[in-house]
Amino acid sequence: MKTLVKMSMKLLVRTKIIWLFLVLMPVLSTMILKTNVAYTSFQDDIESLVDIDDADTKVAYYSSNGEYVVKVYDASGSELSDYLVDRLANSGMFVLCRVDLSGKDIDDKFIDEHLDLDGHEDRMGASLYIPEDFDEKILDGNVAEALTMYVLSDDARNDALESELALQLSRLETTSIYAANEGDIVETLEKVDDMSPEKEVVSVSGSEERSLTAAQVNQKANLGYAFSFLTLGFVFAGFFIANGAIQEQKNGVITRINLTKTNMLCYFTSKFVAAFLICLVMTGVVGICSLTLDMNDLGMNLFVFLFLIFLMGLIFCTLSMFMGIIMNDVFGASVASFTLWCTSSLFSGLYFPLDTASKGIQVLSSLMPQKWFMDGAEMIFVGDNKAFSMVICITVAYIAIIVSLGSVGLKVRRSKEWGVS
Amino acid sequence: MNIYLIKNNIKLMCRSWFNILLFIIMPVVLVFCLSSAFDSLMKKYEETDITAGYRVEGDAVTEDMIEAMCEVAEDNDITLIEYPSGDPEKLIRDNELSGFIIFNDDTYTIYEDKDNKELGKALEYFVNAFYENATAAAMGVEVNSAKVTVEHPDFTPAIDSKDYYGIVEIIYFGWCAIVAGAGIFLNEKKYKIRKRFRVADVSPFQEYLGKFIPIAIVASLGTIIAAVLTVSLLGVHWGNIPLSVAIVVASVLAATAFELMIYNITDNLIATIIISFAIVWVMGFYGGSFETYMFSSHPMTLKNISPIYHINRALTEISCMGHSDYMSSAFGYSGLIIVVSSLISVIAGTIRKRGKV
Repeated sequence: MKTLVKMSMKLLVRTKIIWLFLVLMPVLSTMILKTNVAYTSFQDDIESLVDIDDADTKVAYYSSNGEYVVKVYDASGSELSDYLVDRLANSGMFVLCRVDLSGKDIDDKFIDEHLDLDGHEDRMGASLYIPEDFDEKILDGNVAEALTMYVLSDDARNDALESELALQLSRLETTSIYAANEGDIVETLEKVDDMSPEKEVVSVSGSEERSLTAAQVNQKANLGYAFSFLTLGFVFAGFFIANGAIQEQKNGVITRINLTKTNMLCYFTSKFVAAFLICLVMTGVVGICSLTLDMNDLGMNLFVFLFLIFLMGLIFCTLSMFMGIIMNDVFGASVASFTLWCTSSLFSGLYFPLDTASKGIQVLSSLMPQKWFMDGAEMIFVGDNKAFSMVICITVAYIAIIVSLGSVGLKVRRSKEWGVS
Repeated sequence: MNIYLIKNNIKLMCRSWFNILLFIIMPVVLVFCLSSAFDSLMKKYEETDITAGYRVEGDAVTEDMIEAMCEVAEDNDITLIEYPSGDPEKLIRDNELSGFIIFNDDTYTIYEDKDNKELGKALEYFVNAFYENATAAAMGVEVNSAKVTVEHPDFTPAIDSKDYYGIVEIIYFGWCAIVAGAGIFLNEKKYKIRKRFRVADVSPFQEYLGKFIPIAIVASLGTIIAAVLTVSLLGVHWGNIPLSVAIVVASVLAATAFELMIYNITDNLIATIIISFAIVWVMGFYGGSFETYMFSSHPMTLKNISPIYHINRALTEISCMGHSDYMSSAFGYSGLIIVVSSLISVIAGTIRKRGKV
């Protein structure tokens, strides 16, 4: 047994390409964790009034929770237009993205070009154009021509925006009759607004879920990418062990081992032990790499982090090892390992959250080991100690399934090929 | 002669059926994943009946006012139900309310459900508008006396994530057409078929067609099967089907020609796959295969260079509008790629034959 493990490890260490995976993947994942870039366009609470510097900036992401976005081209930039935009934003329904164009030379061509982009290359409910002479038009009582609303969606809330605009413009029109100048109008209207009851908005989550802060969400996203790279490393480590076993079968080494009265169970146990050792080595490499990390960025303690990685690695390493041994074909095994990596990291939500996905995908997602490790990480972020027992249970369960399925598969295989060279 | 070559190559490709299976299955998997991941982001707002709870604390609001508010709410498909006690958060959760309003002396508090934010916003808007209209009326403002100039420029209606990714990923994997042809190249190398071609009476052009036509046929069929699968499993809308099929086939032909050209230049399957996948990835990245082109803020010039952008935009616009200005450029780009790549391929083939490399 000892000799067998030693032999497998020797063979593995001599394979040059495994070092690439053993070293490169931890380094890559550490780099991702280190850069700590905000990968997600996470916008939890979108302000209802956003100032945009450039007229070409897209506003589509401001409607990430189904908000009705209005892009405002404000060429007037006066007190009155400010007041109008504020009131629209205060109404609650609309998210206003204002581009300040005051003092710039705006012609029809500019507006047409932007409307074309807004309509086809961006996503919003409507856009508003407040021309330079907005104030004069209001004071002249020419409200209808004061601004233009461009409908850019078939959203049901278009009418609400139109009636809100009509209401605000009527208020401006009525007040302008009594007031002397723009400042007076705004002052009068603000006094009236103060008389209305004050509004307070509280956002509550309907479903009971762990709520992470924006920083933790970002940490989780980074951890997802890191997990993905590490999974690739572990999957291929398992593949190389399987590769060794396949070569041994083809070259008749198995027959010779059989002649020494070593049984097959012992042989495969030695492969499993080799997988365990490789996982330890790789976790060690990750540990060395993560010494460069600031553990506060990671959101958890170094040992907890390595513990999670080791357990996850063990699952993937054994899974791809057994897959490879059962397939008994190097090319097929490499494609299978790659497919395993692609689909499992996609479906476990390492790249993007699958919270809103359909039921079918959710079920599929809970079959993926990484999903549970991500959940575990999330629980550790919020200080829930049940995480440890959960990940250990998950690992034991997966390994039990893999080993039992693997041994059944091997029995079938062995009756055909294994042991016969 | 050529017919024989084509038949034989199709046979060779079908022998590595696993590649073709991947070619069909991968886009379906990705469509499933991406469309559900971006579902909430691209969801279209639907007007639904809103049910909300309320409670009056203090004496800010009179009975008459609440009655009036409930009446107006009813006209706007909002049902207001009074809950005299209980925690608003719990009430929202237990009674599946879209929101909860507590009227206090000088303030009112609106609790909005995070999972149905747009409904909460609609409720907030309603209460706000109610108060604004009331104060405006008290001020003597003739409500809605002003007419707003409303214009309706041309726009692409909101397309949902299922339709968008259902179309875009089919195109993206169609651009990986060379995978379907891997069987030919592997077998050609294995059995030294190329050496035998040298003594055969086959011109480089015929040899090229002998590869181009079968790969194009198998890849187009694979892409269309993948599209049919997503249509039947997810219900993706393609709009004008004959037109869309024409664009899909044109793009697969362009992909085949382009990737065959790379193969003819490099003469190495692994290099071809790496180079073409890298190029296709970049084109897809700027063309909206991963992040929706309406959302991504890449410069327009880069987008316009990517053929995949033109094809994606043409197809998505056909899906939601029935017509598209980008149709001609999608066809133009594909045609240009087919002609130029084929020319270069044939020239490379001729040089190789002469040099007997």
